[in-house]
Parts: sequence; structure tokens; C-alpha cells
Amino acid sequence: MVSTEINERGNERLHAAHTLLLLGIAALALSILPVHAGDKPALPTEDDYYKIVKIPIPEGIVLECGGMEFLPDGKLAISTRRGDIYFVEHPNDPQNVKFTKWATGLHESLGLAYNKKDGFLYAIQRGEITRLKDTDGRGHANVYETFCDDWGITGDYHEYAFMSKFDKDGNLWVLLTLTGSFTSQARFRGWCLRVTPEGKIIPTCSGLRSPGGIGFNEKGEVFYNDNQGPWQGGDNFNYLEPGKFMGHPTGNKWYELAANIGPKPKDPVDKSRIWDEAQKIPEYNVPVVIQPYNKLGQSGSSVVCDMSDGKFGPFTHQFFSGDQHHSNLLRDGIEKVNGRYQGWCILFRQGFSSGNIPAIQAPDGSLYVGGTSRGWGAVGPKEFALEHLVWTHKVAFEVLDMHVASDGFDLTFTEPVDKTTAGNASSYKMTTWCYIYRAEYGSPEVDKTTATIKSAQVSGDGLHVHLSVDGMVPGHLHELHMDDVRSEKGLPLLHQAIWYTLWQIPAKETPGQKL
Amino acid sequence: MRYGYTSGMMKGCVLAALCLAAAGFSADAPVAPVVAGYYRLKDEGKAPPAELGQVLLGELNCTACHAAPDARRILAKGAPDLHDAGARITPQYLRHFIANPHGVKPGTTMPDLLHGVEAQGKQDVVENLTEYLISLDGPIKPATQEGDAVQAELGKQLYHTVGCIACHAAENGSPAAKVPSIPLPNLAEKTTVNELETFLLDPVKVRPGSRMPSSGLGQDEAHALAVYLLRNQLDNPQAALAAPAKVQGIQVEYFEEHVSSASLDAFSKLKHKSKHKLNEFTLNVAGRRDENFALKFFAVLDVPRDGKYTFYTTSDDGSFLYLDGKPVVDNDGAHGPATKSGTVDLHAGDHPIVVTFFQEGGGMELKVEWEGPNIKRQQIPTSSLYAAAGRPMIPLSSEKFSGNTQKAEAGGKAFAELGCISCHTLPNKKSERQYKALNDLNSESKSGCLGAHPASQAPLYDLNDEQRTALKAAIADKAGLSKAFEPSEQVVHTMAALNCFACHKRGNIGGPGDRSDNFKMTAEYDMGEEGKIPPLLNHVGEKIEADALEQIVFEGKLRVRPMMATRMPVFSKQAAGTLVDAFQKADTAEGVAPVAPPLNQLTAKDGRLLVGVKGGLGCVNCHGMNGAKSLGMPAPDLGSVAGRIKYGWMRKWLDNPAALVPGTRMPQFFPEHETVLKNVAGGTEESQTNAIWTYLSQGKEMALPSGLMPAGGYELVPTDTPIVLRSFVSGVGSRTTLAGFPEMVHVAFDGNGVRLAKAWRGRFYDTKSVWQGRGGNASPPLGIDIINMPPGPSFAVLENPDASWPKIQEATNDEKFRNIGGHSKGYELDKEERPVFRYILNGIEIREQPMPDVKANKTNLIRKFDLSSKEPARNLYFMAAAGTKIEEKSPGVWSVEDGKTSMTVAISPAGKFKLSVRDSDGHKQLLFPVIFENGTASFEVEVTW
Repeated sequence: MVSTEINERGNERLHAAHTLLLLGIAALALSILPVHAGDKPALPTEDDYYKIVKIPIPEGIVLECGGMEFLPDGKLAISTRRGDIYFVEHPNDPQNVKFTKWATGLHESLGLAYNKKDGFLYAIQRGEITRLKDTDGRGHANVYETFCDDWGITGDYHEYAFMSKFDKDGNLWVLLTLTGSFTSQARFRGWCLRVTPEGKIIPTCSGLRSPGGIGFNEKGEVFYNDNQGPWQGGDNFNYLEPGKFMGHPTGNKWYELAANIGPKPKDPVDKSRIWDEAQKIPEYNVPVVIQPYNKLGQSGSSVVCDMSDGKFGPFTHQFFSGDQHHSNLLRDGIEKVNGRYQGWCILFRQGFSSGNIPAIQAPDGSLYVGGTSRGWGAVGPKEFALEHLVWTHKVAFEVLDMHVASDGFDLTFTEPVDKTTAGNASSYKMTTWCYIYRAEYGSPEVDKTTATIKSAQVSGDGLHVHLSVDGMVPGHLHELHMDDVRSEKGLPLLHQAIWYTLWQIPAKETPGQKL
Repeated sequence: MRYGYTSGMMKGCVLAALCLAAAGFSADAPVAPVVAGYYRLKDEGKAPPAELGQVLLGELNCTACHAAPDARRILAKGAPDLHDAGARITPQYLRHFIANPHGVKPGTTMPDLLHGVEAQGKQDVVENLTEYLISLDGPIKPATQEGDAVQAELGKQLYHTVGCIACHAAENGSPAAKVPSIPLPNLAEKTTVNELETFLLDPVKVRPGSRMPSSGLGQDEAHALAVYLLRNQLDNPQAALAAPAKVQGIQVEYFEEHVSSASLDAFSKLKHKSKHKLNEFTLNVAGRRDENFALKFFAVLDVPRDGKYTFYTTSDDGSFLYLDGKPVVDNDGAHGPATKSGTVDLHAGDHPIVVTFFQEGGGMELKVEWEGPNIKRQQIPTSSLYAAAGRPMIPLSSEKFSGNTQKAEAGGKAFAELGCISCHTLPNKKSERQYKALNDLNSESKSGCLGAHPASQAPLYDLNDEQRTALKAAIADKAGLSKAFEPSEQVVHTMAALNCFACHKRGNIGGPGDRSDNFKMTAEYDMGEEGKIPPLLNHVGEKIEADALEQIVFEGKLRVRPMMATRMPVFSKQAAGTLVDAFQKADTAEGVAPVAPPLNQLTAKDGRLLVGVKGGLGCVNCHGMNGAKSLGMPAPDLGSVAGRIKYGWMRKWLDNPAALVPGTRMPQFFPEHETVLKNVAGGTEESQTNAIWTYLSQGKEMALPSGLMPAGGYELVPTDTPIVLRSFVSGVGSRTTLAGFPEMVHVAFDGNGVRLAKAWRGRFYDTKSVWQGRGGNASPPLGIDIINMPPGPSFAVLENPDASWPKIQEATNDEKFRNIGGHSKGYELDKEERPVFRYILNGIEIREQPMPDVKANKTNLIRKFDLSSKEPARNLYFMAAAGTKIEEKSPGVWSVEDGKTSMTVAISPAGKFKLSVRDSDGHKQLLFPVIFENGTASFEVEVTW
């Protein structure tokens, strides 16, 4: 009970009994305080700002969500791990929502993309991209045409395939999970391929481990989430830049089939640090954001860039990043420093009913999130779920954005801060650490340092705070806790901790991209 | 009672006497031997005295002394084998029972052999016999099992539901049985929980030939029942002096819930589903599922010496190791196999250890190791782990026993001299007394066994007058005794002896009578008495196949009524061996038995329709099939009909169920011998019964009918339209498209090699391997008669007619075998939702549609091909068949043999293509070049097998 309260405040996930117990007592004491104080209302929660609306799934439908797409007529198409495609009418109206099975018999379909040019719905299966159409108006697909099956598959459970929507050139981006966690036993396992409108593959990026979702930003650049495991201490939010290596070297043997992107990069040294290896491997695109394992999530999935232009709140062009195990969404912000992407992540919304896999932004800006916990347990108790995340048009007191500066970090808030608490350097605690870059599964947090917040300067409008920091460490996550910061209205932050993955520090003259 | 012993002894007598009082006996008078079969046939069977005497001659084992080679109506019960009695029974009980069998166990069939021995001498004999029996294999091992009131209560429930009270007295106020109950002595003095549990698990094994059957108890159930029966040990003051129960092993709680942390805090909210005792830290827990579960292990760790100890856990997913209540190894979180360690200083001695583990999905592993002073890193051995326990349950009036060889020797002599050995045979021991043959007995002798005052050498049975009369009558009727049983008599006598009648009614005898409240269902079903009371056995020999009946009675198999709380026990073959044969003979119907129709696929198809709910009779509304649950009540599973039920009985049953089982809920489907479904399966009662029979005769291979969902929810059953799906299929590959047809002929298309690979009949496919857990397993087709299409691609371009055919390796990941048959273009569904596979080879588009065509005795598959090519297609060949022997049977029809498979292949239009058989790659191949006209070619291949 007590632990739930901690979680709802957005603090880190606590799992060891003894720690939990101690903190639980502390939290209990805190939760009693407002009562003693008298009239103060209870603190707002995530639910006050973003509501999770459960969409009822008719009995008999096993909706283990894998992929989602909006169709021109407004229906939401959902592909499932059991291989069905359902068309959902009125998903925003739980009373009148209607499910129609439109296709069936696909093999674990984890991505859908509708092609306006040819009118086909493209679905990825474990072994191929299939394009489907209902050519005779029966109300379900009768054409299941193999569009591209030019990759290897052994039959291992881990060999999943995810797929993007169509990019501006009409290509589909396919992410091929490794064979198990450690090996690449079939062609292009551990790779990103682009598939051209003609169905031909273009080997695009190597070094993938276990992707969980893919999306575009407002510029059409492609990002995906990769899951913690060998060569990955946390969940990585990666930038898929053609020709680049994403960090897990096992699949690099397929460079022999990828002449278009040059020779195989040098293998990283085991038990090193990403920072050190990145200096030696020019092809290595280090993670844009490392999402701290267990603290925010442990199995990154969907990538949705907020293109709603304010219809879903103030987070335009930031990313909502799903987590299957934690049944939550994180919020990621990125910036380009010295020509390279880096950024931060913060908790956005918890409490989904199952393990979040696909998510999509509707034309009205709201999000649909689909879940499955089969084979991979999730905090959300349901075997599968479909949920609608709706903005209440209230804005929480949150960190809106975070940028690195030559001498520290600039924070932007969603509403004016209380200048006393926010201007007090001791309201902020920053530690830095990184993961071991190693072939073994996962990693503890290592190389911990404490960064000193020398000062916190609040801007005149109260929306910005500049933190002057001693001890920034490139290659480290910078974990910033702001428990004591209050808004002008006296509220604490809805989510009080943020993690910035620091690779580049701008020179003095160059401020962060935008402020 | 003639002798008084200790207070514990008295308690036993009182308890036993109370039971008997409930059964209508007085505690004061000696109790005559309780023989269920005797009372059953006397009171319900109205059998004449001579016949009742025959029963007693068997049950009292008279012929063990008095040879009766001509007697053919005696079902001798035999006596317990005592070679290991000393290991199962306490010394104090043996002593008390031998001295006073009728006082210790009123109603026992064991005679008192010492009734004439003087008090002082008797004490010595008793002591010597006790020593002797214990010297054989005893003494009984000290009790180590603990128990509590909760287990006793659980045991009480079992005692009153699984069937114990069919023979033994009910202890819950339920009405007395129709015949006196088999007495239970003061068990709390007699044995330990350990021994009783072993006995209850399989009485027939411990006491071969015993009337007591096995009730199919699980280990936990046997334990609970033993605790209940020995519940007086729970407050035995002697237990306080005993060492705490300390048993090697680990106690394990199994939780069938999803948790994502192994912390004790996360576990504190969980309720365990089952408890186990294991010898090591392992995930091999009985009844566990593969994902979303958790385990908690707790034990006492025996630390050998003071020092620094390091503990390691390797787990997938998370685990915690706690020592003395403190976390030592934190390996929490959902993850792949990971090893963590923790080091602590420990003093020698006992330390509680707790290991928690949870599994979400996918791979799983748990290993617990330690290293310390003089201990290399190793898994913690069982010898260092003790299941923490409370006080053991000690038998009442326990005494220290130290054997005395001299006394044992004297006891061995007495065992032979007194005649114990006549009934309780032991190897290398013979009776030293001579007895008259049965025929030569003077049954009127006043000092014989049947006299009012048997002489000191004669055994004392405490018979009552009616029993004496019956025995005398039986001995006097020498002709009657030598007359073999009629099968119907054999049935009655065997059922009486084994007390089958306590549950089953047959004719006018048996059944629960006013005790029917004791019969319950395992859950609330709308099944009335049919769901509670064991079936009427009137026609059982006519109904059940002999082999099946053997399995039911002696092997504990074919339990088709799991809704019944009362369990059909498993009987000793030694005790009831002739029963099945007797049933078969006694119940053979008059006239010629109807002959079951042969298997015919078309008829079976009709049967499937009739059994289903769509357009059928809807049998599945009440009956499940092969584990698939019915739509309503759990009537017997139709998958058990084949091999169990006889055709002739099925005909009668479907014609008029109530005529066979009055009051049955099975409806009459053919009133006045008419069917309501005139347009199905011939439209007559006989044709439809035959169709149902034919379908059900396929047993486990039956494709489910409409209405049923396969058990487990993973098997796909095409009922109305075809089912097409991709999967990992063993023997085909990682890119297989399966097509299942309602006609129950199915195919698999290999998307790696690109060709039709297999066809089969019967059940279609189980998706468990891909839809359960992480789903990365391949599974084979489910059905039978699986045939392989010719190896390699269906089509190939051959440079010359002798060129070898390209190869495709099945189920390989080798890229060099990909796309040999062309490039797959997927499939389209026709109006009937049947797939048309498309692939492109050398620019030629090939459309292949497999279509089933069910014939009476064969399975047919038609492969329909339509090819089109923009360019002139040259040298394109089709391989119609391959095998060890290919012959043209009639124009255009070829017989093909390949190993165990034989089939015929016919090409149409006949005569259009020039087929030829060639030898290539060590086998025969039937090929033809495909001729295109205007850029297209069409043909059909009919495969029959």
C-alpha cells in the first residue's frame, strides 16, 4: 500500500524488502503530514493530468497488442501476437467501441503501416512483411502478399521483427532482434534494414539487440528503443542513422552482406565503458538516452514523437517511450550538441494495465497504448490490454525540458517555480554514473560520482533555472533529484527525478540548441 | 473385554467400541467377526445359510488350515504378510493385539489363538511373538512427521469423501452403512504417520492380496489422512520429550501468481497454492506452470564451523537469499541468468535460510551455492539442509524397544506351533500342526472352532450363532461347495467380498441407500445423483470392453467421472482377478452381438456433425472431448468411448438411455426410433448412431466437433471454414504456412524452400508452441497419416531430362536451401476462404491450390495448379511423385510407394502431359514437362493415401 504511494509520486522503483520497508515507514509519515496540517488538499497525481481510459475488449478476443495504425477512415488497426488484425471503430468511446477481425494467421505481428499509395495494409510477421487487402469487399483481407522476406529466421523465440511506418522515401524500417540475447544465427539478426517500395532490402544499421519499438521525429529521423541485456546496462533510446553501429557486436558478421555501408567496425572491448569504446569505434552511435534500468523501466518498447502541436499538452516533439515491464510511459527529450544527439528521460505516466508494447498518437493528439504480458511479465496485471491516454487539459508542474550548458544544465519548467526553493542550490541533488559495457547480461551502476550544484539561478519569469554544476562527467548519466523544488503555487514536481545522458558538453560560446 | 492394559489401550477400545455401537453392536458382548460380504448377502442378497457359510469360509480363511481341494466357491481372503509387520507396527500394539485381538480390534477376523493359555505363560508367549515379528524387519522407525489440526481436518474431509467410509465407520454423524463397518483399531497406538502415509498411498503394494484398495491419494492427501487417523497422537504428552522433527530437506511454497520482485515483502501478500518438500533448491516443483509463478524455499542450514561464508545465487528471473532473516544475496528483478553473491560471518550451528524466486516468462533457472572454511564453492548439499519442523507425532504408549534374540527365537517357534503360520505365511516356515481336511470336519464338535467353547488349541473367532449355522451348513453341503460359480454368482460374491456394493448397485444389491448424502461432487454441477453416486453396474459387462474394465478396476485408469468426489479405488488383482471375466460372461446379451461398422471417413465426418452443436444433436452440450470441456455439465468425456464402450451397448444407450439407467439425464435422441435430423447422415437412427460411433471410434485422433474449444485453448480446429496461419512447424521450417480444412485434411507450405511440404488427416495443429509463453518452439502437425510431398521443389527448370532435381532440406536455416521452388508471394483466399499459394519461379507465376476431397476409405488431396508466364517457359518440369516404387496402375493413375507410405497419384487432364518415371538420386521420380498454351498451363494432381 505504502509503496504504491511512493510510485505514484514518481519515485524510483524499489524492490528490496528491507529498503522498501524503511522507506515505506518514511512515506507513511509523509502521507500523514497533510492531515495534521489541516486543510491542505491531497497532492495531485498523474491521473489528474492524463487519464488512462480502459477500452473494453470483447470476450473471446485475445488482444495481445503488437502493432497499431490509423486507417484513412479513422479506424484503429491493431495487429496481435497471435497474428490477428482487428479494426477498432470508435476506440475513443468505450461504450460504442467495436472490434472486427480483419485478418488472421500472421506470425507474431509487431508492426502495421498503411500505404496510401497502394491501399495495402502492411504487417510485419516474424519472417516477412506481408501486405494485405480486402479486394472483394468481404469485410476482411483476402490477399496476403509476401512483400519482403529477405532475412533469416531460425525459429528461436527471441527473433522478433518490428517495423516502422513508411518514411518520406516510401521505405519501411525493419528491426530484427538477435537470436536469443547473445547470438545472431540467421541473416541480419541484430540489424535494421530498410525495405524499399519495390520490396528490396537496404542494410541500414548494425548492433541492435532487442528492439521494442520504432518511431520518427518531426524531421523524419528514426529512433528506436533497445532492451537491457548483453552490451547494454539500461534500456537505450537510439538514433538509427544509416551506416551506424548501435552497440551489440554479435550481428556484425553480416557486414559481409552489407557492402553498401562499408566494412565491419572494430569490435568493442568487453567490460569497458561506452565512452571509451566510442572513441575507438567511429561507427558507434552511442545511445541518445540511456533509460536507467529498474528506476524507470526495464524493457523499452514504443517510440512516439509528440506531433500533436499542443493538442496533447506542452511536450511538442518530445518522445513518449513505452516500457513493457513497468507498464508505463517515459518522456524523452533530445538535443543536438556538437552535432550529436543526446538527451534526458523522465517518468511520464504509470499504471497501464498490461505490458506496454505498441503506442500510437491519434489525430486528436491522444495516445493509444496496447499491452501484452505473455512471456514477459509486467507490473500491469492483465494478460493484455488496450488503453486510451487522454489529456485532461491541465498541465502538471513538471520539468518541461533540460539542456546541457558549458557549466551545467538549464531546466525549463511547465509553470513558474517558487524562487526560494528553486533558487536554492541545495534543493537539487545530482549524482553521475554509468554502466559497464560488457558481453555479460546487464550491468550494475558503476563509477559513481557526486556532482556539486554550485548555484541555481531562476529566470525572471520563473520558468527557467540555470544550474551551475561542478563535476559533470561525459559518458555518464546525470541523475538529478529535485524533491524540494516547489512551484509558485507551492506544489512539488509531479516527477522529481530526471536522468540526462551526457556525451557532449558545449563550448562556452555555444548554448544548448534552444532555450 | 478380558484383559486390561494401559490407559492408551483403554482409549482405543472405547473408540472402537463407539464405532461399533454406531453400527448396532453392543460394547459388552464379544463382537462377532465383521465380514462385509457375509452381511451384504445375508441382508440384501437373502442368500441361504450354506451360501453365507461359503463366504465365511473364505473370509475367515478356514481353508488355510482345513484343506478343501474340491471347493470351488471359496474366495479365500488370506492374511497380512507379516514379514515387515515389525517395521510398520509399534511393539506396544503388537503386544496388545496378539494378547487380545478381539478386545483390541472388536470385530476382527483374526482369531484369538491364546485364549486357552494361562496368564503368566501367555505374557511370555505374547512377548516372544512380538520380539519375533519385530526381529524380521523391525522395529518401526522413530516418527519424524509432524501434524496439526488443519491437516487433521483436511484428512477428515478426505476420509468422508474419497470413499474410506464405504467400508469404515463414518465419524461425522452420517447414517450407518447397510452392513457393519470394517473396524479400525486404536491406530494412534499402532503406527506412525510415516508408515500410515506409505500404506495409504498404495495399500495393495504394502499388503498384496488385501481387500483394502488404493484410493488414488496424492502424497499430501495421504499425509493429511494419516494425520487425521492418528489425530490422538497430536496431544501425546510423550512428544514433548522427543527431539524436534528435523528432517533433511527444504520446505517449499509454490505461488501461482505474477510478481516482479523476489523480496519477502512482495511475497508477503501472496497465498501459496501448494506446499512441497524437496531435497535441493530446484525449480522442479510438481504441478508448476512455466511462467508467472514464484517459489519460497525455507530450511535450517547446518553450518559446520565458525567462519566467513559466501553465498551465490544464479537465477532467471530474480531471487533473494536470506539468512537469519537478513538479506544476503540480492539477485532481484526480471532478468536472464545472472549470478550474484553475498558474504557473511557465521557461527557453527543452525541458521534459518530462505530463498525466494520468481519467474515471469521465458527461460528459468535457479542455483544456490556456498563456499566457506574447508568448503569449496558448490551447491548447498542436502545433508546441510533441514526442513524446520515442530514436534513429531509419536505413537501412543511408546516404549523403548531393545530386541532380545532369545525371545525372538522362542517367538519364531511359537509362531509355527500355535498355527499363526497357517494364515500368515512366511518364507522358510511351515506349520507344525496337522489339521483335518474341510470335508472331514465334525462341525458339531463342541470344542472345535465352531463350538460354543473352543478348546485351547482351537482358534477362537467369537462367531455368533448365525455365523456358526452358516458355516456348518456350508461344510455339510459338500456338493454345493464343489460346484463352480456361475458367472453371475462369481460377480456377486466378488463384489460382496470387495464391498463394491457399498457404492455400486447391481440388481437388487448394493448402492448407497440412505447414505447418499455422503456422496458429493467436486464442484457444483447440475448433474443430480448421476454426478455423485457411482454408476449402476447392471450391464457393465455388456457395456465396457474387457481390457478397459481391467484398466478401470486394477490400474486406476479411465476415470471418466472426475466430477465425483468419491474415487473409484484400485483393487488388488490377486483379490479380484476373475471379476472382469465374470462381468463379461454374466452380462453377455442374448443373441448375436451387433457388429460395429468399419471406419469410413465420410461416415466419421457425419458423426462429427451430429456430435457438434451446429446442425447436430449437440452431444457436446454435456460431454467434453479429449479434455476439451463441454458447454455445460461434465458428463463423461467422449474421447474415452473408443476402446471402452461396446458398440452393442452404445446402440441401446442411444436408443433409450433411461431403459438402461433409470433417471439418467441423458436425453433420448431417437424417440420412437425416429431422428429429428432427417437430412443428416442417412436420416435414420441406425445410420446416425453408426455415424456417431464411427466418429467416436477415432478416440484421441478425433477432430473436435463444432461447439467445443480445445483444452488449453491452443489447438486450432477448422469447423466451418479453413484456418490459415504461419508458424514454426517441425519437419517443415521457420516460415511455414499451415492450411487446415473442415474436411480434416490439412497441408503445410514451406516458405523457406517454397513448396507444398506435407499433408495429413485428423486433427490440425496446436499453437501452444507459438502462442504460449515466449512462443519460440516448433511443433509438428497434430494429426495422423502424414505424407511428405516429393522431396525438393514442385517445379524446376531442368537443362535436360536427365538433370538431377534440385534439393531442399527440411526445417533448415541454411540460406542455400531458400527459395529453391521460387519466391513466395504469399497466398490469396478464395470465396470459401481456401488459400491459393502464389510463388514465382524464373518469371513464371505459379498458383497452387490444395483442396481436400474426402472419400470413404482414403484421404484425397487435389493440388490445382495454374501457371502463367509472359516469356516462353522452357524446360519447366513438375515432379508428381517420388518413391521407391512407382507404377502406372491405369492410364494416368500411378501407385507410389515410399518407405511406409503408399499413395496413388493421378494427373488430369489425363493424357495431356507426358509423364515418365526415371531413376535419379537413388529413387524413382515421376516427372513431366509442363506445356504452356498461350502463356498459361493448368492441371490437377490428385493424391490419395
